[in-house]
Amino acid sequence: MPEKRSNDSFDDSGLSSINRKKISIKQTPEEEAKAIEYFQPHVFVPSFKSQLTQNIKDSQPYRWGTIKNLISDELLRNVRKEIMQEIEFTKKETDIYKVFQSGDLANLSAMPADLLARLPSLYKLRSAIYSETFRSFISDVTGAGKLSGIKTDLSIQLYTKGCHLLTHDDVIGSRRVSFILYMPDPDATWKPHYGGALQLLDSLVPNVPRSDIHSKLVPDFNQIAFFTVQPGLSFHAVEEVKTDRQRLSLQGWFHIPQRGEDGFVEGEQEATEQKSTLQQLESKELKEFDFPKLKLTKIPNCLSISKSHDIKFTELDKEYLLKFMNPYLLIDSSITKLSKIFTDESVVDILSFLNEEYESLLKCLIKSLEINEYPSMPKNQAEVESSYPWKLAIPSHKQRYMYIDGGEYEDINSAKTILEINQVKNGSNCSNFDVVAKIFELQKNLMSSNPDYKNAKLENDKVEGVNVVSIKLCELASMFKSKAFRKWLTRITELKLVKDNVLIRRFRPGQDFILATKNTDDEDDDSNGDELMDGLLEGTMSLTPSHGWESGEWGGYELCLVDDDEISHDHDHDDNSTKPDELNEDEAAIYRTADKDSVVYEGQACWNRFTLMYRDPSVMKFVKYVSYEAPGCRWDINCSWKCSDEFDESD
Amino acid sequence: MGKRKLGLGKVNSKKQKLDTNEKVGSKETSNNKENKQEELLTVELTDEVNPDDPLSQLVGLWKTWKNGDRDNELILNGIINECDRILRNNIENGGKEDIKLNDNFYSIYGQALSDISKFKSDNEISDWIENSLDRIEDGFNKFGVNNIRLLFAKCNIILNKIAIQFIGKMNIDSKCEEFEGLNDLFNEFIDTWNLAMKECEKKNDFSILGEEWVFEILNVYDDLLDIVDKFGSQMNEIVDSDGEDEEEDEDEEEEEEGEEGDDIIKAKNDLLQENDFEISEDHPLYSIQNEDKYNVFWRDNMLKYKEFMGENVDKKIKKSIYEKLGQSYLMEAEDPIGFFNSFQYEGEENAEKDLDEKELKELVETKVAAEKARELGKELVNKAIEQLREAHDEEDPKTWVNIAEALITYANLLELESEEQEETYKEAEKLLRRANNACHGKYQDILDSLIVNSE
Repeated sequence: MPEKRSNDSFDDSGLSSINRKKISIKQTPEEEAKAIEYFQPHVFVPSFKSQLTQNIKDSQPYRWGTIKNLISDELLRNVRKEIMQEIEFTKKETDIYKVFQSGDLANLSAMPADLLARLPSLYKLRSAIYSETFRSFISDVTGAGKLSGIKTDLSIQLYTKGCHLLTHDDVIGSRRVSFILYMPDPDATWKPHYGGALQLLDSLVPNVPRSDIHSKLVPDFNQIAFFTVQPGLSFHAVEEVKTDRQRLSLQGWFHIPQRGEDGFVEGEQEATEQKSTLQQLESKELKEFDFPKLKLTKIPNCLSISKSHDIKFTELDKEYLLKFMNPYLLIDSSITKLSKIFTDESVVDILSFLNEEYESLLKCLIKSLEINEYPSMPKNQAEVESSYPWKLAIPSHKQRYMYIDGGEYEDINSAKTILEINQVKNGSNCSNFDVVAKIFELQKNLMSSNPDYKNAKLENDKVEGVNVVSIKLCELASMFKSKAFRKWLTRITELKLVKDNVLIRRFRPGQDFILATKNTDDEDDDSNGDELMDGLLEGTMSLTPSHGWESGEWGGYELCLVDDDEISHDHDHDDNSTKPDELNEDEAAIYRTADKDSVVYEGQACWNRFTLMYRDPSVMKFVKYVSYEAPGCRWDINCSWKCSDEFDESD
Repeated sequence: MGKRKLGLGKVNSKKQKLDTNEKVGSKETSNNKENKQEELLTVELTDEVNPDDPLSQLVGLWKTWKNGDRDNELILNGIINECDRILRNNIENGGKEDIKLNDNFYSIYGQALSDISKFKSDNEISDWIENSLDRIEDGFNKFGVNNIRLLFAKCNIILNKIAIQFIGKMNIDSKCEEFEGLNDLFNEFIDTWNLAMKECEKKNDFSILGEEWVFEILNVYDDLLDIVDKFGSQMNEIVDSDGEDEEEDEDEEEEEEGEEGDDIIKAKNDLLQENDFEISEDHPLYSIQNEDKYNVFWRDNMLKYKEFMGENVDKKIKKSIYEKLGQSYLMEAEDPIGFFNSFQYEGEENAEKDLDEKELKELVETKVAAEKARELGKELVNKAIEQLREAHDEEDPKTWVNIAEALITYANLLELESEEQEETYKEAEKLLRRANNACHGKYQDILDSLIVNSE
C-alpha cells in the first residue's frame, strides 16, 4: 500500500527534506578549473550558446531550454553506474507523486563524506554543474540573473513503471533556475511511448495552469532541461512512466547568490522569498478558476430529526428508494446499526448499497462502455467539452477529472470566459439531473444517425456512446438529491441537511486526480439562519466496475488524513492546510504532509460501496492519480451536504 | 443530550464495514482472534460457511488465505491453531467434539504448515515443511495412499520445498553436492502428480480439477521452471526490460553496432543490462535446466487438464489454461522462426554475392532447412492462435491483443503480400484497434508499427 506524502519527501521533482542541514559548498580553484573538462566541448562554442539563447527566448509556454550531450559521456556513464551500485532507492507515494527516492541521499548537498567517497563521479558532476563556468552559461542563456555557487540543491530520482509527478511550479524561496539532467539507459533510445516526459503547461492567468499539456520533452541520456523558476507560470509535470524502464535523473536548482558571492544583492533573497509567499497567497485567492465549485444548493423544506413525521418513509418513498437501494438498508434495524457506527466513527462504508437488479445492469453498462466507447474516452479539454453535460475539473495543479454537476454549460477556455461565469453570469448553479438525463437521451438519438458512428458500428457492433451510462448515472444522482433519500440519510446521521451538492465523477487512467484539500466550506455563505457545522457530510458512491484496484498500485483510491499541525480553525485558507506565511523553504511545496498515523480513512476504487463520512475541517482528502495501467476509470458519485446539528442547538 | 463528537478527524478512527449482503441470522461473521503483539485479526467468511461446523469454518479460513494477498502470517497461525484444536478436542483423541475429520482437513493442515514456513527463520523452515509432510502422511494413513486431494496437497508442498529450501538458497556458484536430492524432489513431484491424475481417471472423477488451488500447482511448477531456466541471468534490482520493446532495442543496437563497434559491445555489459550467463555443469540446476522432460511434463499435463477439466470449470481457470498453452506454443516457435528469419536475412545478402558451387549447394540446403523451419513455425503459431482464440474474453482486451500478436507472428511467416498475409494482418489490426480504443491508447505503438509495416 502506498505511503502518504511525508515531511521527508520531496517537493518538486526534488528530494529535499525538512529539518535538513543546508550545506554550502565552495569550489576550490582546482575544481573550478577542472569542471570545464567535464562538459562536452560543443556546449561552450559561442554560436551554440547564441542559438540556445535565442531558442530560450522564443520558447513556449514559458522560457525553458534543453541541451543534448551536455556532460562527458564517460563521466555520466560512471555517474549512472555509481548511483545504481551505491544508492538504494525506496518507493515514496503521496497525492502528488510516486517515485523512487534515494534513502540517505535526500539531498546531495548534504551527502556524508563516506558516501561521497564511494561516488567520485557524482562528486565531479556536482562540481561541474555548480562551477562558475556553467552557472555563468546558464545565467546568460536564460537571462535569469546571477546564480549561487555555494547554495546547491541537487537530488536523484528514479522513475519506474507507474511513477509520476503531477503539475506544480517549483516556486519556493530563493530558487532561480530549475534543471533536470536525464540518465536513462545510455545504450537504448528512450521512446515517447515509454512515458516519463517532462510536460510543460501554459497558464490561463498566473497561478492557474491550463489542463492540457502545452509541450513535452522526451528524455534522452545526457540531456538537460532547465527553466527559470517563474512564480505562477513555470508549471510542469513528469508524465507517468508507462513501461518497465528506468528513468533516472538528477534534478536540482540554482539559487540566487548568497552573501559574499558575485551578484549578491542585499535584500534580494528576502524579496524573492516574499514574492514566492505572495504567489502562494495569490494562488489561494484564485478560487474563481476552480471548477467544479463547491457551491451547495439550499435544500427547500429541510427535514428535521426532531419531527418524526418528517423523516418517516411513505410507501411512495420506499417504492422509489427500492428501485435503487438494497432493501436491507431500509429496514429499521439496519438504519439503527448504521446510525450507531456513524455516530461512533463519523464514517461508515456500506457495501452492496445498490440492489442486485440495479447494480448488475449498471455494472454491465459501464463495463461495456469502457470497452466499446465511441468516440473513445476524452483525452483533452476539448474532447471533454464536446461531451457536455460532462465537464472538466480544473485547474490542473489541483485536480483533473470529468464530472456532471447537472448544471449549465460553462466555457472554461479563457480567463475572460471564466470571469464572465463568475462575475457577469454568476449563475444560480441550479442542478437538475433529470434535465441533464434528457439531454443525454437526445444526444443518444442524434448519435444513431451520425455516419462516423455508423461506420464504427460496422467494425465493432458493440460500440456505444457515453450517453446510456450517463442517463443511468443521472438517475442515480437524482436519487441522492431526493427527499426520500434525505429521510434515510437524516435518520442515519441525525443531522439536519441544509444544503447539498452532487457530482457524477469519472477519473480517467493516465490523467485524473484530486490533490489533498481540506476544503469543507461552502462558497456561497448563505446559511439562511441555520447555524451550519464547520465540516462537511460527504457520501461517495463508488462505481468502478473493473477489478484489481485493491492493492492501490493503480491509484484511484480516496484517502483522508488529519492535519496534525492544525492549530486554529481559521478557514481563510481552506484550500490548503498550512498558512502561507508559515511556510519555510522546504515546507512550502509539501504542505500536504502526513505520517501514517494521521490517515483516518482509505477507500480503494471499487464497485457498489457507499461511504458516508463527516469530515471536519482538520481532515484533508485526496483522490490519487489513476495510473495509465489501470484497466478502466474510477467512477463515482460524490455528494456533499452542509448540515446543522439539532442536538447541538438543543444543548 | 450531550454534544456529539462528530468528525472524522476528531474520532480519528478506522473505518467500519457493514456488509449489507449479510442477512440477519443467515450469515455469521466469524472472528478469528489471534493475539500477537496486541494485533487483532477479523476474517469475514462467506455465505456458504456453516458457523456450527468447525470444519466448514476451517475451509472458509483457508479460502480467505488462498484468495487474499497471502502476506498475513496471522491468518495461517489461526488456521494451524484451529487444526490443532480440532484434533485435540476430537472424540477420537479423547476430546468432546464429534467432528468427522476428512481428507480436506489434512490437506489444509499440511499446506498451512508448509505455507507458514516462508515467514519463519532459515533454521526453522525445514522443520515446518517436514511437519507439513507428516500431516499429509497422517491423512494417507487414514484415507489411503491414493487419496487424490492429499496427493495434490503433497505436490504443492513439494514445490514449496523446492522453492524455499533449494532454489531460494542458491546462487550462481552453488554446487550439486550442497543441494543433494533436488532432482529426486522434482521427480517425486512428477510421480505424485501423475498418480493423482491416474486416480482421477480411474475413478472417472475430475471434479477436483475445477478447484483453483489444483490448477495453481501447475502454474507454480511452470514458474519454478522459468526461474530455473533464467537462473544466472542476473538482473539489477529493478527490472529494466519491456518485452515488446526488447526486439526493437536489439535491432537498434545492431544498427548502432555497425557504427560504434566495440563501444556498444562493451556497453552491453552495463550493470543495467541483463547478462547472458550460463550456469556451470556442476550447478544443482544444470540438469533440470537442460532436460526437456520437465517442460514436456508441464505441457502434457496442461493439455490433460484442459481435456478433463469439464465444461463447468471456472472461467478464470479455463482462460488461463488456454492462454498459457498458447504462449508455450509461441515460445516453442521462437527457435524455428529465428532460424527462418536469419536465413532470409542472409539470403538477401548472399543474393548480392557471387557464390561458388559449394557455397551454392550449402545455400540450397539451408534454404530447404529454412523452409522446414518456416513450416514448423507456422504449425506451432497456428496451434498457439487456436489456444489463444479459446482464451478470448470479451471483457479483457489483453486477450484480444494476445491473439493479434500471434496473428502478426503468423502473417510474418507467410508469403510476402499474399492474400492470406494481408487478411491475417487485417484481422490483427482490427483486434488491436479495438483493444487500443478500450485501453486508452495503450497499444498505439504496436498498431502504428503494424500500419507502417503494412504500408
